[in-house]
Amino acid sequence: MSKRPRSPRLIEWRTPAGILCAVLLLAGCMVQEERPQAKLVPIQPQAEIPQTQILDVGVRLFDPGIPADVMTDIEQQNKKSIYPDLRRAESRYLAMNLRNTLESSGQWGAVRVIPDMAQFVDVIVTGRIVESNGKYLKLDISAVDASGHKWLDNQRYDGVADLASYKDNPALKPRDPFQNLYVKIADDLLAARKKLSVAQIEGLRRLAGLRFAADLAPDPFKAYVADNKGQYAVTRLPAPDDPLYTRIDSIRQRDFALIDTVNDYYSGFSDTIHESYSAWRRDSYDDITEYEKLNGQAKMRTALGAAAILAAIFVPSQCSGGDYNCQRIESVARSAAAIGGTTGILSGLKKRSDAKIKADSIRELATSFQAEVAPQVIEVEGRTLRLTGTAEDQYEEWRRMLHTLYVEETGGVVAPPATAAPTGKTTAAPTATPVAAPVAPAAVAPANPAPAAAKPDAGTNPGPGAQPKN
Amino acid sequence: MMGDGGNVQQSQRILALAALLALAACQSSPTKSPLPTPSAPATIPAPPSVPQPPAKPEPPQPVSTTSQSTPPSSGSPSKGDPAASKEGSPQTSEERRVAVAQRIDESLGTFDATLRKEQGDLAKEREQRASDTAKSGADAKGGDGVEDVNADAGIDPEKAKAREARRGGMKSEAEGAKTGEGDKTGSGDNGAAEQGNVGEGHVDDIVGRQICEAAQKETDPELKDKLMKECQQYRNGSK
Repeated sequence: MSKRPRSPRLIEWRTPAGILCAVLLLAGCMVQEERPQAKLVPIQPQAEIPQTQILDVGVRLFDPGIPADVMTDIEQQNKKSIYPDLRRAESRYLAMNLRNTLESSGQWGAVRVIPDMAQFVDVIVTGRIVESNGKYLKLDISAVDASGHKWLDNQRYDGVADLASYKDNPALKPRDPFQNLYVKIADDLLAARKKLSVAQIEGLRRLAGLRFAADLAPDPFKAYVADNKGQYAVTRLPAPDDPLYTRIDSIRQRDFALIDTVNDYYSGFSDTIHESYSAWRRDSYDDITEYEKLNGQAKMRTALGAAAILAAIFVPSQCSGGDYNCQRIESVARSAAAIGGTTGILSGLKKRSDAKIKADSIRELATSFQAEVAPQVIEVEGRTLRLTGTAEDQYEEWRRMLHTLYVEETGGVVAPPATAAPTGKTTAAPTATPVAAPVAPAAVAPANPAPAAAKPDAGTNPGPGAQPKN
Repeated sequence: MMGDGGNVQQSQRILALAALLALAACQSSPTKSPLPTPSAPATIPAPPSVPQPPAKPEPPQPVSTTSQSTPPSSGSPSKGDPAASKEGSPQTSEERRVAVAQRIDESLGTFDATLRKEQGDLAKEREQRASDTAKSGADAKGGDGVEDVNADAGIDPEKAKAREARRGGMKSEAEGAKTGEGDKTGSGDNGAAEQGNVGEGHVDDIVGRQICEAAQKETDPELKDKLMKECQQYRNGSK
């Protein structure tokens, strides 16, 4: 009985099959399905928030996140896809987007993008751009209140652009492609605020006002605020009729107006670059998606080709020694696998080349947009510096005059504010009202800060309707 | 005896008169001006930029606390200091306080004026942007009848095509060589797609395509006309 030769049927190529499966799984992982995102909306208040509990929020310009080696090295800029002028523009634009989102939530008082010189706001939000292009946005966000308590501490927020925002459908409501990310930040800030008691929230407003007063007139008001390594608390409150505090309050209103004006600068800047920036993001999104697709294809084809070649070389023969037919077919199959594998690798290299071209296109777009937006960044920055420089000079003058006024009112001889070291404060302000609990907790303002005689905090927050917004 | 008594009375009268005169003299001597505290004269330490006359115990010097470093753009002329106008005449603490308060109020007014000006400029810019947006929207409507929406809402198809062409124009040569017949991004069709606004014809040349796109996007009427003429020239040259 002759042994039946093994038919060239499906020869068990376990090893190459296994390799192929692994490669296909890997390829599957590279496929990113783009699904429409749910349109998140910031949490709205269920009831009207009392005026005394409304907190103002200041959003600082975001840190552009430009590494030192990228600042002037164009090669590094291209390598890391970080373009300084573009990032500077985004530091303003993205901060304004967050500002708009917070304001739309209705949970806060005056929400503004604030200059560096603005220090005494109820809550200050800072951010750093980690990655920003048409498809991805990564921000590190921090928030701290007037008492020094941190609400958010370098929290990372990742966002993928909502493709729906880029669709050419006029019927769609305008929405930023990363709006969901801003909504998450707004909701997290709200969650942090909800952890505070009513007394703590009201204390924050008072504290911000007193810190402003202490900065402008340290001699009378420095003692009203305890500073424990960056944690602040109210120790005393001024009397309702304290003339000096009233005067400082009027200066604070000007401070609010200044901040509003600077906010308007940034708002105008955002409006100016909005269309071109959105167009850049749209193009960038397409190019990045195409680049990722080409890159994925390149990797997959290269991997498959390599797997086929390896299989052709290393898979052991499945045919018996005398089965020449089987051996011939096997030889053909090995050759086909080798040729196919080589073709796959060459195709992968071609895709990689296409991906590189696409990456160049992305860089060209960014460079072009950067050149377009750089002058506008310079303009808004110059304008802001002119106004804040003027304001700082004015504040210095007010400090001197308030110091003089204080000395005249109290009759004491105190070193001028420029020397920064009072030689001796002779008497406290005659109308000061001590607070019952001067000991400050580490995190937030004391729970029972003010007796009934304390001045209502009319000056620290004009309320949501008092100051013109952008 | 009588004469001695008379002498005594006369001497008493003289003494009494002398005492009265002495008392009258004491009443009319100048008194020291009152100081708020007995320990310190009313001298105000001046800011470093202001030279201060040396403090004298009496009479108290009129103190000028006018700041010399007024902010450059606040534009506040250093108005006559009420204290300076009374230089040489004694001022009470209340008067000095009032003078300082008045200066503060004046500077607040100046600062307000600065902010008002800035806010006025901002308002004008906002109006200008709004009118520019409305105008470009009207142009887009006139072209394809497509509403010019905010870039976030979704892009005007006309602008999308322009963008496609811009991307096509930015491709490197290797890929650009494939665009002659139209490629995946469809940039090759943009020349034809823009016919509605910039005239008939087809532009093969990349430069010409870019000129036509720029003409379509331009909002300045004069520049738009020039660009359109250039585009038409390219079209005519392509035929």
